[in-house]
Amino acid sequence: MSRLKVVLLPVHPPKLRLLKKTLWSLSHVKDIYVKILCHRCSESDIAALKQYQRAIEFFDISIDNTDSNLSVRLNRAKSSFDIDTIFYRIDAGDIIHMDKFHIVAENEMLITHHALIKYPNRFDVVKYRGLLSQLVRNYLVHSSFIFSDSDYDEGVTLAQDYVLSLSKIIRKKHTHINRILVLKDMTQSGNTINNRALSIKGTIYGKKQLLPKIVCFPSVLIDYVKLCLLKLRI
Amino acid sequence: MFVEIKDLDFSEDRFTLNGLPISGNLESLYINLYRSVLHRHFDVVRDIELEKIDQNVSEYTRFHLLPLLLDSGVQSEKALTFLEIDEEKIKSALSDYSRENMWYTSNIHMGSLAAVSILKRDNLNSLALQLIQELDSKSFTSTKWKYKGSINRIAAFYHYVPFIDTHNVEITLRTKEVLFTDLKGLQNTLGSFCSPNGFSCMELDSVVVAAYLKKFGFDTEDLLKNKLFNHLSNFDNGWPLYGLSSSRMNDIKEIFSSSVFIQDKLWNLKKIFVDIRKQQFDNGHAELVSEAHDKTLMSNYFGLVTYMQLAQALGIVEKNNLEVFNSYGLSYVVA
Repeated sequence: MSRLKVVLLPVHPPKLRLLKKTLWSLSHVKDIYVKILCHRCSESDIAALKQYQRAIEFFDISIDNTDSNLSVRLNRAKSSFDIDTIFYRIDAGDIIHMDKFHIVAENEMLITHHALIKYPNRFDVVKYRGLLSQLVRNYLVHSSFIFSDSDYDEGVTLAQDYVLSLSKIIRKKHTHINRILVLKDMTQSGNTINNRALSIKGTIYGKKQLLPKIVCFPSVLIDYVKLCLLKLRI
Repeated sequence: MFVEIKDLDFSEDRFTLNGLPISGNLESLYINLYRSVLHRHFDVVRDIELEKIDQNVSEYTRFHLLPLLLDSGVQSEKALTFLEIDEEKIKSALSDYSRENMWYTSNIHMGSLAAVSILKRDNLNSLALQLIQELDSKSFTSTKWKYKGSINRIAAFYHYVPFIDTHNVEITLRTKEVLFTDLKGLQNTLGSFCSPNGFSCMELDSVVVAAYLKKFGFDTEDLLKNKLFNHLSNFDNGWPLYGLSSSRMNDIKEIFSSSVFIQDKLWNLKKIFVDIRKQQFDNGHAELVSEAHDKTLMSNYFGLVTYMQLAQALGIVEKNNLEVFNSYGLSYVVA
């Protein structure tokens, strides 16, 4: 019996205008369940989203206006499905290659793949370079994550995807596929300095939880330098 | 639903969003035709007013305009009369042609084969079939060295697809194999068919040829899926004439490591070092000007047809309610 394939797509009002492109790319794929996790969206936002229901076979909108962080909301969404469901984590604005949904994750594995990043004046190809590189800089775009029975760390406000991927890599529960299967649109990222700082703090938290001290110290030092540089910009 | 006319069209007399209003007769005709065919794909019919064509318009342009006029819904007799294309000119185009640059010649042939299709005369049909047989024996390859590569061949063959596919004209296995090899060599990591990241005309040509080859059992599925991903990635309230690249260094590495002919490598190198830095003139017309990464009426029109062909070839149920119609030219979608 084939397993249910669920796309987890969190969205909040600033990103709603990007959702149309993502739903367009998903509309070309059969047999997937698209779960939109709306956070602090108005009734008119929800009504505007419902027009796309006829374009996607299995389309569900859940609404959460609580103060829960994204990790909590993602885990809550996952818990409503059976244990052998396969999840594909993406964002509003992402474009998905049709072949992504042929990839199936099993036995607590996290599967990732290359990603294309779209900036205002260029594209960048982001490729995974191994654990050591991950300790300096994250080369895994969360829109490339495919997993089954894995939960996000709810203690992390941002960078929950980095923490998840690091824990999988360390426990040898990670496989990377050398194909570009997602585009992430960063032409108008809206990523504030505050959010970037929170993201770095999440990264530091994750490393402290997961890494032995001898490895953690130099890696986290780099993050503290990045944090200081960010604070200097404020 | 996902793509609408308002994403692709500009105000009445402009070729690009921020371009100057067009005033030239021929340029105005082109933008009216591009607009009209674009709208027809959304099932909106626009009238085309035809004033007398300027006498200095070349034979190339007249034959280039014919399929556009027909696809806009202009009656065949009216179109032929307006363009002053008669049987003698059609016969001349089909029998007296140069194979030096097959892309150039194929544009004239697309128009003359459109005329053959609508006139339905036995003598012209025979000439058309004879032409295609001759070109097929040479695999639609140009004779001049600089035009002997894959890009020129794919771009040339594309212009014969509407006639070949509509009338089930047989093309040899050898030619199809050559074209398949061309396509596989041309597609880059980003999924487009020329540097830096696609050129509207070439993307349409390649996708239609890939769809045509798929009908004969050639496995172009991956090529088409990669291009669909690339095509959606390049869409941003329209499709640009040239897509954005990753980096000049990556482009160069990709060009040199590809399996295409030296002519194609040189063509692509010129694209990334020279062409994308210059102003672009659609079909050489001074007023149909744009920058390399602009969205133009032409690039949006070609982008739309490229998308429709991808959807058709990949068996995707089309959710935008776009209209495919019997086309004699650039709107042709292989079923």
